[in-house]
Amino acid sequence: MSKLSDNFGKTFIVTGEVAPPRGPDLTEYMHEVDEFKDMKDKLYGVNVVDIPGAMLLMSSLAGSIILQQNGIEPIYQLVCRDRNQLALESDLIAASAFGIENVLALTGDHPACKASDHPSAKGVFDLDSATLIETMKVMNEGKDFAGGDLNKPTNFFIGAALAPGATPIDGEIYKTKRKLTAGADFFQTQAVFESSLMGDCINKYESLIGEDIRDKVLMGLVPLYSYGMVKFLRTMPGIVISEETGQRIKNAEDPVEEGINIAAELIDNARDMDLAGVHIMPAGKIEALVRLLENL
Amino acid sequence: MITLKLKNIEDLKTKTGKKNLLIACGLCPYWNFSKEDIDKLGESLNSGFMKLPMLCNYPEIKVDSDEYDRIFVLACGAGSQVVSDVLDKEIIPVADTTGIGVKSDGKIRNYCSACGDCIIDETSGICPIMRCSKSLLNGPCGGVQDGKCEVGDIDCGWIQIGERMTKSGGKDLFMSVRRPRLIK
Ligand code: SF4
Ligand code: SF4
Repeated sequence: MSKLSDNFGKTFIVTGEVAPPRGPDLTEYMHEVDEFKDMKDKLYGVNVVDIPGAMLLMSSLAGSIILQQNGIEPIYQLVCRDRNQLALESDLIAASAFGIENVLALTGDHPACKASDHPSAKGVFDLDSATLIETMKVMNEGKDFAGGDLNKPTNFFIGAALAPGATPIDGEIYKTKRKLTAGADFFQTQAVFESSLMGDCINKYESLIGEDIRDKVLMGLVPLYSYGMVKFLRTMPGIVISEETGQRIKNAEDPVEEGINIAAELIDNARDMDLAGVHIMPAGKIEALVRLLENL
Repeated sequence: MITLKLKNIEDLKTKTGKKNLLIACGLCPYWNFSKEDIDKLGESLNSGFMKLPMLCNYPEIKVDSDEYDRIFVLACGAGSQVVSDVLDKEIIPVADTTGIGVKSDGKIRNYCSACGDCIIDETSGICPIMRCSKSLLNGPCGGVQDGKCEVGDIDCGWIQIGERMTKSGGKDLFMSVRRPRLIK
């Protein structure tokens, strides 16, 4: 059992996130790994991103193995954009063989999305988040997606994404239920800057599906560092940053400090909403994560 | 009809020879483009012009192909190949074939990519293969904004599927998991 699955629902969960390097030099990555070692007791897992926004990085499997071997529990992110069924299953077997249990199943951004640095790459999308979740579920029963046998069952704790900022939201809600039916154990949301957005999403789920999902949700947070970052993030799909939040960063003497304050308030909001926890994406500024954890 | 997108004209100009001929299929190109635009294309390529009825019917092409250095074809990918077959000569396509589409309010939209296994009886009569940029069987993805796809200038097909399906009581069908198909 992973520490994440063991503690999920029993305590307020906090997870972090790291990006593998964009090249074979691991020096900086290992520095970050060292920082995560110090935070180990307060973190229940660290996501290792898989070529987000179709911007090339070292493989998330390798990045996750490095965490695992350094005693930090990885949440291995896996996107369907770059691999067919065989490649996904093969990587999942490798992950399991190396002791990795937490996996976040993602469809993946389109290779031609705005952020991409490889717009001519072919998008595979043989499976999608829902069928990747199903794949892991059958692998946990010792089978592969096509019905064949594995020499031993895997032990995946299956995560999925939730996008509270998708509009219209109904499709996202129904899809979330579909992921649960497929076998998702927990959800991590895209970055949320206004707790009302999260609250609306949870309420909408309840009204459309008739179930309460808050004990499965880790609310995604990104500490804001500057007004430039606010402006940039506002151009991204699904990101809502209110006028008030924007002004707080703009008028702050120390925007980094104010960003940490806002994130800390959001953590309190997540507790008040009875969510399972928060997922903090430090966007390269690991100090912000350290500071937020200190106050927990 | 078959939807076409003209290739970059400056790139095409670099492929012209001394004596050029543009052969246009009389059907789909004239549905995609105005007659004026097609005439202009011939002028830009400094080429002679010939319009044939339906290239997909393998018409006779009365051209002495040796007279021309370059033969350009305005047709779908199949029609362009017919010209090459009939003349037994290399040709240069001037348009990209993008799908099978519809025209409404003067706007052309792709509706089908001829995938070989139509499943729109399971998706409220809306094609998830062509009308979702990722051809997802279990959309919408998280990138949808105001009903628009995260890439390209299209309405998210999965939002439309969801709306039509849930309206007619198919909530459970929408929330079910569709597995990849085995296309023979
Ligand atoms: S599923 Fe879509 S692409 Fe395939 S045949 Fe039907 S309409 Fe065409
Ligand atoms: S936004 Fe909609 S159409 Fe675009 S890739 Fe996602 S699900 Fe497909």
